[in-house]
Amino acid sequence: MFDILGNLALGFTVALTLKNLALCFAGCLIGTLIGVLPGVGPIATIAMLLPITYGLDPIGALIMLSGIYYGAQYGGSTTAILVNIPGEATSVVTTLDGHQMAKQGRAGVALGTAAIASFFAGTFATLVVAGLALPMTALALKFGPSDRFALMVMGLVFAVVLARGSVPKALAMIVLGILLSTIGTDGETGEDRMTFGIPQISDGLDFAVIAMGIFGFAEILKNLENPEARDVVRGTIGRLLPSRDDLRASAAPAMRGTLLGSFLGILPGNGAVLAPFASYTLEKRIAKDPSRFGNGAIEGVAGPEAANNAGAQTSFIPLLTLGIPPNAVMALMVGAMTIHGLIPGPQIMSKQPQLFWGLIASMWIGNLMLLIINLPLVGLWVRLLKVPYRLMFPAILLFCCIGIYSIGNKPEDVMMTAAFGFIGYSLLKLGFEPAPLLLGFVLGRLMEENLRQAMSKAGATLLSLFDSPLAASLLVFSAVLLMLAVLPAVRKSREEVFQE
Amino acid sequence: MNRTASTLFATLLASIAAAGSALAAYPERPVTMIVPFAAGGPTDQVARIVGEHMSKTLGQTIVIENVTGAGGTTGITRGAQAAADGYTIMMGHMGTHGAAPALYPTLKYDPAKDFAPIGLAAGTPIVIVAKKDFAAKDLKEFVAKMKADGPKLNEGNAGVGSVSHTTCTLLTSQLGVKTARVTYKGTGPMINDLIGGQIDFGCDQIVSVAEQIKAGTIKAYAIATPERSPALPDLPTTKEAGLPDYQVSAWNAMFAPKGTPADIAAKLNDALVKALDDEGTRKRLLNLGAVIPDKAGRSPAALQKLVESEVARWTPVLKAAGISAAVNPAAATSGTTPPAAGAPAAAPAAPAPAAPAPAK
Amino acid sequence: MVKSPQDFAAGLVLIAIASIAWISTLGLPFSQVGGVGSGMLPKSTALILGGLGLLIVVGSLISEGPPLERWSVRDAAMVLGGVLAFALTIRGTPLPALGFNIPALGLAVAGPLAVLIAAQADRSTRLIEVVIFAVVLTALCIILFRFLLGLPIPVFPPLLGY
Repeated sequence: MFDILGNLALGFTVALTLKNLALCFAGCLIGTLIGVLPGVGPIATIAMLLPITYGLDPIGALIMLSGIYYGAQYGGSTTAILVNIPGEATSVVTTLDGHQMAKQGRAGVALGTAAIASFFAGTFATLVVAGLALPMTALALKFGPSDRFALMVMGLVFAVVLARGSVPKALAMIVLGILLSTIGTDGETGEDRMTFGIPQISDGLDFAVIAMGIFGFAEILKNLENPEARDVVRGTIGRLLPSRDDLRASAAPAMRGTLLGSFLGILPGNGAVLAPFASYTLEKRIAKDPSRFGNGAIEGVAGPEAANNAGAQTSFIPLLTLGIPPNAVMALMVGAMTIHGLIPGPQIMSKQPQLFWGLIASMWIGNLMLLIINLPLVGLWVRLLKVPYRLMFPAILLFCCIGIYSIGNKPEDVMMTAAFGFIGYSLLKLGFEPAPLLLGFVLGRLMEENLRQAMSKAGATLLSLFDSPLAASLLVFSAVLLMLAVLPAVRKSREEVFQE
Repeated sequence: MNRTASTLFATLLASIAAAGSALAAYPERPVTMIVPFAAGGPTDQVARIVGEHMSKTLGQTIVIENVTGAGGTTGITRGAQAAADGYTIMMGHMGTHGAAPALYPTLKYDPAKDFAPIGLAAGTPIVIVAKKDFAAKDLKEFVAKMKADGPKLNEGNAGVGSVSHTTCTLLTSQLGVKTARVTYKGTGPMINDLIGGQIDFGCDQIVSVAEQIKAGTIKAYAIATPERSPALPDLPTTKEAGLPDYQVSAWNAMFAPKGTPADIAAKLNDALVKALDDEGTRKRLLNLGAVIPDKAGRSPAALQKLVESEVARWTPVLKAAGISAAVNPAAATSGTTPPAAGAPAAAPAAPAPAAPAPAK
Repeated sequence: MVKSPQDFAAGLVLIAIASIAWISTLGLPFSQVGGVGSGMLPKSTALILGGLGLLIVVGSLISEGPPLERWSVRDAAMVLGGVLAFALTIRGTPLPALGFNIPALGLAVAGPLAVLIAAQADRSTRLIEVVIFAVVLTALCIILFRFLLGLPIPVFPPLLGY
């Protein structure tokens, strides 16, 4: 314990230099500004901004990049709440209740709750990283492909649970999402899968393209068709910050979300993605009145936002203790370190203590900065909703074009976004919800990867998926949860039939 | 601020596409270098380190443009089709200019014919690694175990066409064994499972594994270069350890589109050579575990020879491993006839002419 | 008789998507030596999707539901058209089939173009207002993305500079 305090003190002396504070601040600010662009999530933001950190010293560059990361995540939540366009998989959950809150004139409360819950989660997760990094790494290494596969199956079941409306239609969207995730050259055999000879999709579809197309354009077209509905959003802007009651209602969900996120974040294979879904599912299950969820329940913002930020934080653990990037964002961090001649590895903690602890300290400072930057900004963001929609939607479109183009410097991606906009509009007209599709898309890809890893091992059979007690129990739990989610719907539709 | 003001003025003029530009000394505006992989990856790092110094020599910034996709071939295709005026160059590598013709039957460029080679920038050695309790103490025992239990061993790779995938395919084909291949998305997750003992062995670039080897979380058997690497001085070469034929490197090299004027290509090569002679640049490249080419290896002619020999080497290896047009169902529908099985190994697999450069 | 036209159409669309997916993955193996084949997930999801589509169609024959909604074709065409215009002009697009090439115009032209076309989707758009807005917005984007953040996005037609 004493060690940790001493180490943290070392970290803070590194992070609290004027220069590093300035870099942390700049990173958070730029990250927020880019992350708030519709369709641009943290991965794209970091990939875009990585080059501007190349001129800095290693610690400064990393501090700035982590600032960009937190900023981008928070920026993504802001877009999800204000205009119902998620920048990454995890903010899909935030759109569900966050945007509903915005429609009820509670955008400021939703943004404030997200910021405060994220700060709380960030503080807790920083302590977890500082104190439990090594034991948690050892635990994470025990997760093999079959365990990760079972986790992703569980995540897909969560997606069913958090769907609104008709269960068969929600299931269909999840399955369609999984189907879309298989498009592209097969990573294992090199075979083309449903690319229809279009070279642009041989690498598979990009999340941003689908999210912007299916969520973003559909939302814009929906608003253009219903001028009354969109004016309601603009007309009523209530209080800017959460009230005492709001905070009381958010406290427990934020705490549960933090714990879930802290754990899932360390898992290899991007376990952090699951954190917000898991938190949302949990809150909806234990709520006295689950029907409030999807209609602007504050717990549905506080829990997942906390889980998201905690997961983002603890996903640094494998990078810091092993030098291994567990997801695409961390892979970019490794790139940033390497270009500065710091090749991350298991010895970073002992050989570069000032880097290790400096980064941990700056994580917390970054979270604090976000709070400082964003609470005053809430007013600005909310006021943006006052911009007449006839100007707002072309601006959203332009930002989206620039953002999508900049992800890979490819105009083809922008064209694909337009194509998915058409698909999204059609789905909307047919009464489908976009959120389950996106979840299926993200989790389906991870599920297949892990399933195939598990099954390619020498001597593997379908039964060997149950060899690990953890995988077996997760699969059984998922099956039970699926039953619980689907059975009431089946019963209900039968009752409807018999009533006639 | 002056610059901003002038660009704002230029904005007004922008819709009128001016024709004809004065022929001034090259380069009179920034040069775009296409890096066909994501920012932060090994190729991107080499490109940025070398590009930074080249900018000084050329007197114009080299703007790095990361154009990702299809194992790097998306970016290289764009580069090959760009105007051959020296303002678009690209950083290719072993995959895009060696393995690609075998991996991508519909490839729109020919690595040996559609480029003006500038020069080799760096070689990245490949290391054979295994989980830390793998039951073989040196390369000889490893090879013996591979030959005895190949199909029972789990080989990790970072995805079809990745460096770890192609180089390990070369290893298993030289040894004549088959293994259980476990595919990951990227090097990170693969190394993670190697440390966790979920898979048995793999091959990867030195920069991805050196720190793990030093820390003892995984073990290494040999490095596939003629000489030992200063990054891992205790690791024997494949030649010393008894597998002299396994020589492979994920090299990075600079190319311009075919038809780039000779004097411009020479200027670029000169800037590259100067960068590779610079102490600071060398240090940063060596830090990545890179091998810096010697004087003879930096010439355009040497690069041309390297590309030809690499295409000739990878095509049969990858086709024999079954990763080729023959298993590609889309190839039949997209109108490209797969080369007949048993075609001469040296023949490039994709003789599609480059499309004309887009008009301005 | 169809009691829920929207669900009926939705189910049919799902069945159509599932059939396309199934047919286009016919050549992919379900399993392979040592593991799961490339066809397993696409084929099984296509099957489930088709099944759900059928379920929804059957359901639409039994229980009442919403009617089909009207499509605002013009709005959609303008919004998506603006995005397409951006994609086609930012770096230029060769169109050999039509015998001409769309020139590369850069963000300075592609940006206002996208805004102006998309803005036509809203009936309350005022021309002068949106022209000024488009130019100012694009100028701000150029300053932020190209000059402050250094993103390699083309700003001007190539003959005028990068």
